[in-house]
Amino acid sequence: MIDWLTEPWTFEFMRRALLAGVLVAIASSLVGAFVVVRGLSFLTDAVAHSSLAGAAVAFAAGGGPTAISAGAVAAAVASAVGVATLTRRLQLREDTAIALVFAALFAFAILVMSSVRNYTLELNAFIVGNILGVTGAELALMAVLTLLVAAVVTVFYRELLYAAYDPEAAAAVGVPVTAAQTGLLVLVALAAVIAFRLVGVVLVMAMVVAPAAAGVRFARSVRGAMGIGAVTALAATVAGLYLSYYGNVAAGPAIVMAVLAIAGALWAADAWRRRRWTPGKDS
Amino acid sequence: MAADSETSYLGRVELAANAPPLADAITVTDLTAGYDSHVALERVTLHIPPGTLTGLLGPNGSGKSTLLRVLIGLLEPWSGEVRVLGRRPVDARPYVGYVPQVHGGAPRFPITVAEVVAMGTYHRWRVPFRGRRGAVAAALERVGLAGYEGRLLHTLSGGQQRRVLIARALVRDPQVLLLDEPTAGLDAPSEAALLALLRELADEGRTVVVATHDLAGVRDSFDIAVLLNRRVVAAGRPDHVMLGEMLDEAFGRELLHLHDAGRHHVRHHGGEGR
Repeated sequence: MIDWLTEPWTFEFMRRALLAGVLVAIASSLVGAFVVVRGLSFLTDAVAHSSLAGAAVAFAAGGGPTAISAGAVAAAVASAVGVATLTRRLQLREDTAIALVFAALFAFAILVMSSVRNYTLELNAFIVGNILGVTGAELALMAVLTLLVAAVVTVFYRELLYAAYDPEAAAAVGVPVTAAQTGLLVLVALAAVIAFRLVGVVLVMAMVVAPAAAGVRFARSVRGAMGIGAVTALAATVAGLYLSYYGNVAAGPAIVMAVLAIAGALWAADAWRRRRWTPGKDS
Repeated sequence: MAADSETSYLGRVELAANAPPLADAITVTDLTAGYDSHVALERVTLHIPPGTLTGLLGPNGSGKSTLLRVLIGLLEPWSGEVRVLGRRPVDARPYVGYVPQVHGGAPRFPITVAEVVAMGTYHRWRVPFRGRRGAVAAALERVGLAGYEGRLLHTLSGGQQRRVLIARALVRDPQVLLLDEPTAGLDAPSEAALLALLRELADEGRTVVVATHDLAGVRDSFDIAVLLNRRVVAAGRPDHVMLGEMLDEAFGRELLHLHDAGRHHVRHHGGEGR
């Protein structure tokens, strides 16, 4: 049994995958808690897809993995800022602005990719994820971005919290609400780029939203939701990697299935608890 | 009575003869403001002395909320001048507490009562707020919610949540307090308790301005009534300005309907128009 548990971690690629999973768990739960309370799940999905545009351009220009990641970060941040700008300047509804930016950048990404003859593994890794092939340089980039996200969320926690909770009252006490809301969109972009190496562009939303949603359900504060979300995501990463190793299936989808299973179990437990407590209400 | 020339009711509000001659806490001069191309307030002039309890009365869409948003600096005037405690509204914010009409939090937002109230102690440049915990407890006690710090906000009743938001404004120890329909949706005892609290706060020397639909409450316990309908219809002591034809001008048919229902007893023609 011990051997069964330790065997996967004797391989370098599995240890790297685990480290990548830890970074994703931290970044996505820090940002995910705000995504869930602000209702920005769709934005997260859009930003992840938009990042593909930058990755595709970098790839077409002959860039290596680091250049591709950097291109993805740039496109993700640009899409997030674009959504914020469209929402304010053209007074579009946020979901409309998201749809427009998402469609434009994703179509552009496919366009660029279709022009590249040897469209191969490298970009494929962005679409469905390839955590088992993550390189040292990519890991370093993920670590730097995760540190950046953690630092910004720690320093500006009150601003982010107040702007998310009650923008009108926050502005009245002097919180720079517009900056906080735009900053959150940029954080979402960074979290998406950190996560898509793990699970791919298509499933980033699951990593950012599901653990945090479980956290928000149980926590008494956004900070608490981040903690519960991180633990959930970590447990899912470990479980998903075992499933991938012994079941011989792709790691990304296995981790996402594990996240959803754990989050689903937590929700079920919560619903059951609430049903039993209904008569006494919230006393 | 020349109700169509609204300027005849304007000007400095006369208080009791022994009131000290202090500078006005709030001065609004020829203010016009609105949203996009919609004019919400037109050429509004007001002087509100410190330590008074003022009610802003008017039908929905009369500009009550807009005036409060201008006073807290959330909305820039199109023209005219606004001074709160002698400063621009944005600069006066550290001394002003604001209770918005509805709060924007999602229904199950994970936030405790203490965290909501502590929001009032925010300072952009991280100037430390000494004794935050004690101030939060004191503010909650003031609104009758002592010991509620650890409760999740969304588990409280609507009236209790409203009081938490008032505590959030009070924790700043504000000299000016702006409240947007604080009594809407409250039951009668809660409403009476809230009005008593506002009276108390004004008696401590704070300037309290309340947008409200509660005509009886304003007439009975406020110092100043401002009848608003995009313009100032009348402003002054409630018994001077809450007269039939001025109320009719401010409220139009909405109030006539209330007359019919017999729910408000408004004195007609006192002959003391200014």
